[in-house]
Amino acid sequence: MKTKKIRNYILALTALFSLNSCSYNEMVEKDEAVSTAWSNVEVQYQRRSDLIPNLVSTVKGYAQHEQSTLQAVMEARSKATQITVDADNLTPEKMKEYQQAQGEISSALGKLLAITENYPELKANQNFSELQAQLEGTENRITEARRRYNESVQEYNVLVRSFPNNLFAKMFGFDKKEKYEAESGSEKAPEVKF
Amino acid sequence: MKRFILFLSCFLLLTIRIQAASYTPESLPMVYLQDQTRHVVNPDGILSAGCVAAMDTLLWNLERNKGVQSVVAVVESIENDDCYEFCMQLARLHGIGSKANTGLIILLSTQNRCYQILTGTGLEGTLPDAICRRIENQKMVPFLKQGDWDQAMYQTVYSVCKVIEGDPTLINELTGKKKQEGGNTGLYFVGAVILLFILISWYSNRQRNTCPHCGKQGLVRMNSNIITDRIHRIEHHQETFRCPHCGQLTHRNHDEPMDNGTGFGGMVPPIMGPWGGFRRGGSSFDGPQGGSFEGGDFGGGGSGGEF
Repeated sequence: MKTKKIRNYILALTALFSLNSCSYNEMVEKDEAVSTAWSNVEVQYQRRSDLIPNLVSTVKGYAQHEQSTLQAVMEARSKATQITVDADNLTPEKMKEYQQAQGEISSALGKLLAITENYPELKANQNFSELQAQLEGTENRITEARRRYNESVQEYNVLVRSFPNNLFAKMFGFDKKEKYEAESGSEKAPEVKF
Repeated sequence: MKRFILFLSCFLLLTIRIQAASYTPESLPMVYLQDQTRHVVNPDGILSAGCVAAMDTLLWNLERNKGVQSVVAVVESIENDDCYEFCMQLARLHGIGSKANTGLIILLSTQNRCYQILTGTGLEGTLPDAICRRIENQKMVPFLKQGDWDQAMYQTVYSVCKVIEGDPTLINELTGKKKQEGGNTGLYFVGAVILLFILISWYSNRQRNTCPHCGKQGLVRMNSNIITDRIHRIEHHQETFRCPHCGQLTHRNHDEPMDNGTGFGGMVPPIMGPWGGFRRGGSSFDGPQGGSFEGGDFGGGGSGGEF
């Protein structure tokens, strides 16, 4: 009788541990996936940041009267490069700061590209056209990287917050992660003037 | 009244035309999946058959030599007016591209007046955005503005192929063995087996005909006896040969398991073997072989625009 009881205990314990270890490993896996996706987002933003000096100097050659716009782009860039978010420390505040900084670059760049419409010579420039293509491609990559980041965060959050994983998640410090929301600045529609 | 009917029929025709041609990534027919030599999707017949065939050849070679899996689509109209989004959704849906992520999509929508070259993540180094834009600016857009779809697409595909072929780091090894080459290897193997079989039979024949005394060829069989051992089911063959060169006699004895008297029992399987191989190899000629996309990854590289 006693041996049967002990056997039952052992069975229950092994079941518990195997279940636990399974979901624990899965949590680690998903956590790593989120980190990788985030670093990819940062890489793409960095890529955009690296393109800016080249773009600014090309535009400068054709549009000297647009100093203030060019200045704004460079300032936004230098501000944003100071803010980096560690993949292991994706707190909501940090994320918000990062998003804000990158959003400022986006809106400054948007203004810069809008004024280039006034310079047909610049638009006809092969070098500028190709730079613009790189910038567009990078924006597309950023969008794609963000989409994937959000996907991986969603998967992770669903895993961490569902029962019974949430008990173990709390125990091992797997917190809910923040998604990358739409950029600040993009929520207000662009003004159209005629 | 007549005018009204004319107007109405014109209007109906127009709406039917528009409705028939608007594609989603899901509804775009993927001819590559039915026939791996066809990369160009031309459901509305915008391109001429000659142009499609020429591009198919270029792209088929590209896949064979460089492992770049490509889809070129020319349609009248797409949903949502966004060529880039359409290409990305198409890529995600089918997983265009090999394991090395060297996928390539080129799309032209003539009514939306937009075009897009989309490169897989493994192809971004070979075909950077700037090069895509340069090809578009120089080879595509001038013809698009004239409405010369054939020239625009052919020139673009040709230029893209040239750029990719100029990259020595891209090799088909990245994608693993192709089906077509697998078929060739099979044929070579069958050929080698046949050759070996012929060589062995030639050699054993030569051995049998060689006189052991003078070493010359051309033994003539004088006599042959078969003693049948029905208990052990064995036939004792006793043969006598005479050499025409030195005149000496040679005796040879060997045993063979009894069979039903054909004497060819041992010969049949080796002949049938290669035949079976041939027939299997031949099945690839029965009809077009469908291709399969291998789940390539697209990160949003490439270039597009409107004209």
